[in-house]
Amino acid sequence: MGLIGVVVLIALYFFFNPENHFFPKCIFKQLTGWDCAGCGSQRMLHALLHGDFAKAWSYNSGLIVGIPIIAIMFISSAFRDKVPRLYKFLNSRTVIIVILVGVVAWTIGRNIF
Amino acid sequence: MEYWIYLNEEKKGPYTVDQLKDLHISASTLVWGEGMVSWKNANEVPELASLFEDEDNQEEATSEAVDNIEEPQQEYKKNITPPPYNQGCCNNYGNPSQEIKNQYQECPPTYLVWAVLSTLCCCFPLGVVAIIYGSNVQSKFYSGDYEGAVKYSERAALWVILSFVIGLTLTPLFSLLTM
Repeated sequence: MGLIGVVVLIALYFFFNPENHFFPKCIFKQLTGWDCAGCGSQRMLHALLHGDFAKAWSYNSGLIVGIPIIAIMFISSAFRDKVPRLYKFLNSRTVIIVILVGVVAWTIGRNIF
Repeated sequence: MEYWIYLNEEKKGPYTVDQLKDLHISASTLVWGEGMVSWKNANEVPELASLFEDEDNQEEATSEAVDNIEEPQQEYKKNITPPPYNQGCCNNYGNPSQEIKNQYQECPPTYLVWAVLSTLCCCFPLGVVAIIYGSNVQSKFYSGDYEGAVKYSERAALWVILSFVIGLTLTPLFSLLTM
């Protein structure tokens, strides 16, 4: 999994600039015309990998905030036996609902403002 | 401390340690006392472990214990009832294999990471459904409904897969059609 992730990131960095190349648009955006929570994440990652933080922020600021959270969730599930309390906390109903509300609020917010 | 025992599919008690000794319960008899999370084998309860050791040592320990315990006995009877043994995730003793399975069960996965990733990268509405199902897994599990937790966990997985499949197939397809 990690290897695939690294390969994808390297490919994004060197060969692929989503601003120039054809890139399939998110199905949600195609059908509704609205940005979904993840729209712009490829461009954001590309900009972030090239160190252009301001540009990355403009493409998908919600996901930049979300990346550390997703990383922690991923690590806690991979090492569930070692950090049982962290895992239990992150997968509790309250935390999941907070994440859900965050994602939905970010989606609505980015389409309004 | 008094204990209920589970014999012949029935809860009986409460008994003092001394009474339990007279009943000649076996080391594997299930017992429950106030403050215990679930029913346990009698020899796993520290206070009762002496019943299954050397006869001489046990004599002293239990007779002492009875003197201290005699008084509050009535209070206990009024106020305390043992937990049900056939409900919840940890107290099912109807079926021995079920019992062993439940004791080592851990909470089914919520697939939260995958649900969030599928929401962000694949298909927003379906990923949200997966997150909602995942949110119920732990509350079901810790309220003792293991079956329910498994059900929600599986549904979360199903919607994650749906989200990935639909997102990754329809997205390029629509892009090509609308070019």
